[in-house]
Amino acid sequence: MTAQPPALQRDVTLLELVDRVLNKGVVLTGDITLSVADVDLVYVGLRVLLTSVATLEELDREGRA
Amino acid sequence: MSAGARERAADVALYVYGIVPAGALDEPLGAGVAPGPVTSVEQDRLAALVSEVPLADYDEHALETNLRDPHWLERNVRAHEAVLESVAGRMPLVPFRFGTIFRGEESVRRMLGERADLVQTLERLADAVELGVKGFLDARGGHGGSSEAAGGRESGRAYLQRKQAALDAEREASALATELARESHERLAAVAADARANALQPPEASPAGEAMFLNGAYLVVRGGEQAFRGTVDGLGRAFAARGARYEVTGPWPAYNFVDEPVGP
Repeated sequence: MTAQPPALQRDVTLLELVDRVLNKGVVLTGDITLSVADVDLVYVGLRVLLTSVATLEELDREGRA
Repeated sequence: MSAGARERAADVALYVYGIVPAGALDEPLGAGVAPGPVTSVEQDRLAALVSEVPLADYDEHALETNLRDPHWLERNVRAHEAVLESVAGRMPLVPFRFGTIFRGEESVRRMLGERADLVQTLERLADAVELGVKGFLDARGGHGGSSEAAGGRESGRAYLQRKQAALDAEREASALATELARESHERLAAVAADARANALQPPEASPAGEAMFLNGAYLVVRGGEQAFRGTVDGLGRAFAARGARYEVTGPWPAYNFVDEPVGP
């Protein structure tokens, strides 16, 4: 799959954001436990998605359900 | 005192974005991850920035599903960041990671009471912003171009020589990346209040597929931002000939600096 530069540029910004919002900041356990492991998994998964597919929008174009 | 507390509907919870000093937020902020305004819940010297979220989207079960939807996640991660950015310049701020949720004001207050240490964190982060600096090596610094045989048949010896040359080039590039990373991070840390070197992003994440050698976060005192950017420019000039290029992002809420600095 080839990435398209303009779309990817936007993705890099999102990756930068995800690297912070899902991976840094104060972590504490609230009442509703989103376990640390869950968020870590989601973070890793999203990171893979952001670095392997050009954009989420592209996913849409490819006909997401 | 709980007599005056608003009764919350059973189907909403409170999402916490971060912490600011008590009294700092004088009016509600716009919407965050849910349509309602962002307000503060205070305890002693701390105030949590919160907004009501529907349990339909934020209880354990719903979250598990929502977190797997990249679109839901992108929208809400951006909303979380937008709330923090809207106060970042105006008051000291300790950003929380995405997805900290409480049943009601009482439990938010209890959390604030247990985390009185965040007062020190607020003080440490006051008047400072986080800047990200990424360093990339262009193809010259990376793999030595096409290592395919020119065409036709190749002797075993030529093949080995070619493989060896490719290996040498790779080793050289990796040594250069290590050296540039160390040198760059040291110089930037010297003009920052605090510094973190994070895991590198893969080449696929860079528009031109360049190899990243530095993914740093730097805590820069307000007013020192220009000097810091000047140092980055200086690095760019110093190492351009070796194929290095730098990118600055931010200012960000200080996500990378909420923990006490750890020794090397």
